[in-house]
Amino acid sequence: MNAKIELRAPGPGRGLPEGDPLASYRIHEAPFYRPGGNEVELYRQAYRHRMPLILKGPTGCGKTRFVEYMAWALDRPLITLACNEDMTASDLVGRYLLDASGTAWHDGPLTMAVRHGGICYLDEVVEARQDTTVVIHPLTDARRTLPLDKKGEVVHAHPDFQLVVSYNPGYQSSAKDMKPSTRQRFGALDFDYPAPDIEADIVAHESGVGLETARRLVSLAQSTRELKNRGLEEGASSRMLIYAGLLISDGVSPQDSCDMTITRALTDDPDTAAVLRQLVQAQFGA
Amino acid sequence: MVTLGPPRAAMLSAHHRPLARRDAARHPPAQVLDEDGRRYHGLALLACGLARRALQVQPLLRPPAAAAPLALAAPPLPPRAVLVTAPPGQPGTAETAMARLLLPALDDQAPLPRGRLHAAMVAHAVAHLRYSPAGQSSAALKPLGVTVVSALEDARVERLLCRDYPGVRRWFEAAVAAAPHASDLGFRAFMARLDRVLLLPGCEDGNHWVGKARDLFEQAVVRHGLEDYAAFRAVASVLANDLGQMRVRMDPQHYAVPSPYRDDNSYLWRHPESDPAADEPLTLQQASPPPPAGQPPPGEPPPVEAAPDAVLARYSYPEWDRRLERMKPDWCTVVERAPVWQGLDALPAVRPPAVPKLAAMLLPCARQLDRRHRLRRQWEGDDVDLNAAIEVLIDRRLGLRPDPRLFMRAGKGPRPTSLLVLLDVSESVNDPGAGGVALLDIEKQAALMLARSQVRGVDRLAVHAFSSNTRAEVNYYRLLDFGQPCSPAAVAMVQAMRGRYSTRLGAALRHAASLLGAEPAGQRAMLVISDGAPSDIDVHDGRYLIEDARRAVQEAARAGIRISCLAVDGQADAYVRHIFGWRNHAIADDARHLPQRLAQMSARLAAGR
Repeated sequence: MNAKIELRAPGPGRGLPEGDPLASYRIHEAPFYRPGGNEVELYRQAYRHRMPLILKGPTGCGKTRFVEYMAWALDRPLITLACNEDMTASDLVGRYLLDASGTAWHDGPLTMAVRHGGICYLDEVVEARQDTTVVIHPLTDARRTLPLDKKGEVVHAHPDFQLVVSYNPGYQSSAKDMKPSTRQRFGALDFDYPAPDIEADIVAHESGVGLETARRLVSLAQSTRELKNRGLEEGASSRMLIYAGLLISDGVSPQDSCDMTITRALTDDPDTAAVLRQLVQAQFGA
Repeated sequence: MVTLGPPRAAMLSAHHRPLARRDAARHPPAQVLDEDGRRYHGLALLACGLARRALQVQPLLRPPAAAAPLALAAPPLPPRAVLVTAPPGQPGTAETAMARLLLPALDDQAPLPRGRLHAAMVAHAVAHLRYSPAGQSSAALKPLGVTVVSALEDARVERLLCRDYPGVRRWFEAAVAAAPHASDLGFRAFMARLDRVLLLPGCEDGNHWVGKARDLFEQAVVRHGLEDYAAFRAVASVLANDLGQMRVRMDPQHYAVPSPYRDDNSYLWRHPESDPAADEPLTLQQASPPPPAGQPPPGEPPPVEAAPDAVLARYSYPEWDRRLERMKPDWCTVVERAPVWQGLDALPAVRPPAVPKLAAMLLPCARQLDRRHRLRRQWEGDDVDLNAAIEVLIDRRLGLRPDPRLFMRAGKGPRPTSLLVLLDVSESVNDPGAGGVALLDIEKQAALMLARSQVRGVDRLAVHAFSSNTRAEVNYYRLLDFGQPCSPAAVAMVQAMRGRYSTRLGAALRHAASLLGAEPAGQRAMLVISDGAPSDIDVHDGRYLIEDARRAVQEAARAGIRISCLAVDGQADAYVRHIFGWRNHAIADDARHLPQRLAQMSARLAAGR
């Protein structure tokens, strides 16, 4: 784990300044992340230039974990927002609320990150409506400002601020695709399920099962990923394997664990479920 | 060696078929989803998951007796699975190279439930696909040698598969050949002992040859590893030689591998003397099942061609030329027609079985947030409603109790959704697919089911159909139009539809898109059901119409119309994805899954997901 130590940003260290408004967003424990390629180095370079990033990849392949890990490695607070269709621009930038003396402005999470210097991570960004996401445009080019039109203020981004978004190109609809004008402001990193050996390592580490069981779970996942578009919308994710592994290491039989965390979670269709159970059987016996 | 011809070429090349063939394709609509079809679909998914590549699983229509002169054998040989792949050396694109596994139909009297035996068959075939070199030359070997090499290869690849999928060992062990009687010294008995001793750990057999086989096999495993095909072939030739010296006779004509789950090993070999032309009939028969026996005798006059469908209107559309990289203006003529009215009495005598309405859980409801709609004076919301806030402050200064409802939020409004289902009614939809049901019948049933089910989220549904006969005549049928109730007359219209001509997809898409464009603004979506790549008899460049259709899809997308395709063709992946985009297509490997897939896709389209 020496590699991780080297990654830490040199500088003032972890001493928190008094009244750090983002203190609760700091990550103190090192998140477990097993790099699959050079994405850590690429991210560091992108961060040096505060380049906005898109993380693409199927669900449960480690995008969020990667951002947490990088935020920890760079010693920056991480403000995560899960986007949804009902989210409005004011959910991002803030709004006026009433208090005893009248109205008072409350910064939204994005404004907090911009003002105080954090990594703002918009998870599943295309779930938010396109008219919501345009508020990030002035932040993601040379201006690096966030105009708060309701408040009549222009927030200049803190030098540490960076915007990272994630999305899963697999199942989102074209109606919800990112606009080219939004997309082109970002650099992109592609994520996929890790290579089998690495994935087995991850599953073993995260769930506590033996490496051999983890390998079998990964092999099972690869079989299910082959069924994508032939009955399944997505194959089993690494996260699912970890869930299965957790149950197995607690003493639940592999068949029951996989049934609960993989088969039933992946499909409602009884025929497809029967096939998945056979695939489980092929790995773990009846 | 069974060769696999380019499977769809014959179907797509021309739509003019001999009348007998066309007539034979007209058969009573069968049940859409039967037990068998579902089972084979499941087996195909299982195979696909185990092999990590696409694989078709189909019923073996007859025992492979026709492949060799075995037909005279007195006791019929037990049927064995057949694994077919594109022969090496033949240029096969990715689509045609898809392997097929033909499984014999098993009766339930078999020692194992057929589900388990079929699963073992699939696993064994997958083992070959993953680890066996296909199509080795058998020139230097006698039949006995071929059989022994095959048996060792079976054992080798099974061990490899058990290494990757430890659970499948049970499947094999349950289905392996029964132990022959100790006094049985026939060739088949030796092979059965060999199968057992190599598969079952700790299986002892007193026979010297069998013991030697096991020792040599295990030595080869230790010395060379399971991956080394050549080492096991060397072992096999030693063993085959021994059998020859023991004067064990093999009768190739009456031999089938003893373990019922193993395939006939034709996948492994290429027999040099076999005449490729002789394989042809078998291939063709398997690719498209032979027409039922009720063919009209040659002397019978051809059925009277029905009167041409009435023309309603003509429209001109451009077409994209991929070589010129531009649109050819007014190139195609779309002819709107009404299917010949046959009256309500002309409905098929055999009514299709009543299709149950689709379960509502298949159809997620769209959440339709409408920001044009501001709800004021709410308990909670995105924003302070300034008017209400001012009143609150006034009330407070006046010492009154303020009204706490001072927020504003977006309302939810109805979003009109129009869905156009476009059916491909070209000649090829008459072909009986798996299970002997013509795609046309399934298309009709599925469309009617959709029309009757009132998909949640779809306010307006239309069912149109098209076929083409050169660019001058792209026939377009508005079977059920937007806002039209699904009346008996409409049902009769749909039922009267016949499959003819070819598939000029682009022009039909443009016409359908322009019809959709006249629908009220909101969600507009189109769902195309097709069974093959676009083609027409005046186009010889296979990619031309594909590129044109792709272009039409992109034009529609710019106009805010989303087009998805449900292809009933296991090999359609490549071009359907190219035309419709990788997100907007689905493949129903088996036509009988179409209604269900259709319901799912239309609900997804309606939900704008």
